[in-house]
Amino acid sequence: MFMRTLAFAGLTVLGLLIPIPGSAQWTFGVQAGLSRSKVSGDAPEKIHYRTRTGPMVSLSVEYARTPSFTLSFEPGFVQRGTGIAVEVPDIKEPVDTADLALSYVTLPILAKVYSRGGRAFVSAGLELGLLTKAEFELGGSTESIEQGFNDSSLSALFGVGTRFRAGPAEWLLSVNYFQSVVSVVGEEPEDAEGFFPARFRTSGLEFKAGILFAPGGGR
Amino acid sequence: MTCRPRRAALVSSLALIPWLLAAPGLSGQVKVPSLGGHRFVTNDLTGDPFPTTSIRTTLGMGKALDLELIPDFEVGGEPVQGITGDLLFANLDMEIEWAVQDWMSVWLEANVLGRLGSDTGALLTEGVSLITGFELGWLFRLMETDRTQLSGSAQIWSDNFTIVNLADWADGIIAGENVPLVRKAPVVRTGGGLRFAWAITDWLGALGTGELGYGESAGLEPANDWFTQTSAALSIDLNPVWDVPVGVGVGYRHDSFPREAGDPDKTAHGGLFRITYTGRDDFIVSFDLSGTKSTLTNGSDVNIGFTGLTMRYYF
Repeated sequence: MFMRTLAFAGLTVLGLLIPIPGSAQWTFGVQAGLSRSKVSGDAPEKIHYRTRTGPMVSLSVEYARTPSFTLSFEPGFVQRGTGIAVEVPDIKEPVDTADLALSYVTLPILAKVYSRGGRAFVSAGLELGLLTKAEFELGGSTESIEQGFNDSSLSALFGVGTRFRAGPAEWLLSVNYFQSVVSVVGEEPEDAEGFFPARFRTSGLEFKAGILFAPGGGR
Repeated sequence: MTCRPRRAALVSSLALIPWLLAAPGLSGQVKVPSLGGHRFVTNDLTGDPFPTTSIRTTLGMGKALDLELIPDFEVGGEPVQGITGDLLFANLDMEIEWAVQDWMSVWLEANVLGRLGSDTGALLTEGVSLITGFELGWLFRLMETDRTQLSGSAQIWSDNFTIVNLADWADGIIAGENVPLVRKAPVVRTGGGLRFAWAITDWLGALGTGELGYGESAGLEPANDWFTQTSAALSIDLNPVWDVPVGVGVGYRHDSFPREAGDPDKTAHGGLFRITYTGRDDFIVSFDLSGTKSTLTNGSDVNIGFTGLTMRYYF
């Protein structure tokens, strides 16, 4: 199933990147930022999910099909997850107790449309994530719990951003909303049956800054 | 002193009248959706294929009367009367749309639907108490002629349901199952489709939408399924005929698996009648009457009527 998804994603990228002679330009760069994510799901009784912040970094390969329309492939790494707070008797607010970190190698494909002035853009696309690590931290000790999670995830991305030129490079600032469209939890291990809620998806905002270079000069 | 707020409100309202009554074409540019000389009376039920920069608010109230929430049943041969009741809803939608290019726009819509509750029986048995959610989407024009326009759309819906369901909770206790009294269900759906507009004459137009999506239900055990939404509407602009700045919209929509449903096989049919003030080139205000027929989680059919006020400003 995973290989089929990967093959489909690869073919989609190839199809989208077929050049239109005379109207295209490639740019390459890097992006880094922070991912503010949270699990949205049926929280177990007396449990609350909290937003957590993780790092993200990616390469960026952009292909401008027209001056206003760009396809972007941004393979990278991101850490998502959630904080977990527990209701404790006699304490008004739930107490931050545990932390779940899900690390993914991500393969997003985004379509970008630039505004008439060319400064602002909107983006949308799909992201295939390959789980590399799932860690559960409780009381100072960390445990790997990859077994309960799907090896891959699929997320929808919507974003807005701006670009400006400084020197030979083009700089990008953007905010993406991401939402996993399928549960990140897979088949539960027998000894943990019922531990994960029925709906368990990550969503949140990603704040990114990046720099792009065009090998043949600016676009 | 106590009259001041009332006087200020009156003065503000009177000041709005000349602004609302500004002659059509005064600004020199028609910003409301139009094709082939026809100003479309767009509506929220069917959507439209026109990328615009605009902001919209809709405030509405809905009511379902005399619902059979629990049918009559028998205990030991003795008939027990079921529960009927009314459900009252308030609805608030806010949407902002940005035409990034003249051929495409993005939109963000946030909505809240809350049950006000007018009857104890209804409150106890039909559980959804609050739905908050948003919709993010892209609209891109695919084809345009003098009188027609076809656009594609892609969107994601993310909703959070707060469900207080005493009946399920009580059933759970009887069955020895741990069913929570209050639970929250996040529901995510994605989809896309085609939207079409046709200016038949300068006073009559037609709108149509077909969307396909995949997503889950709000039920206790979430069910994922494909769904379709199809809709059609007529747009009537009375200005070219009677020189009256009023438009009328009539629409129908079919959902194979509505957002609010707890079960994928529950379909919903909806109809809408809209009256719109069309006297300005950049602003519309509409009064809506709509009705939806759908199925509750207990299997009984429900007819819900909504009234709403929509305002939309085009930049």
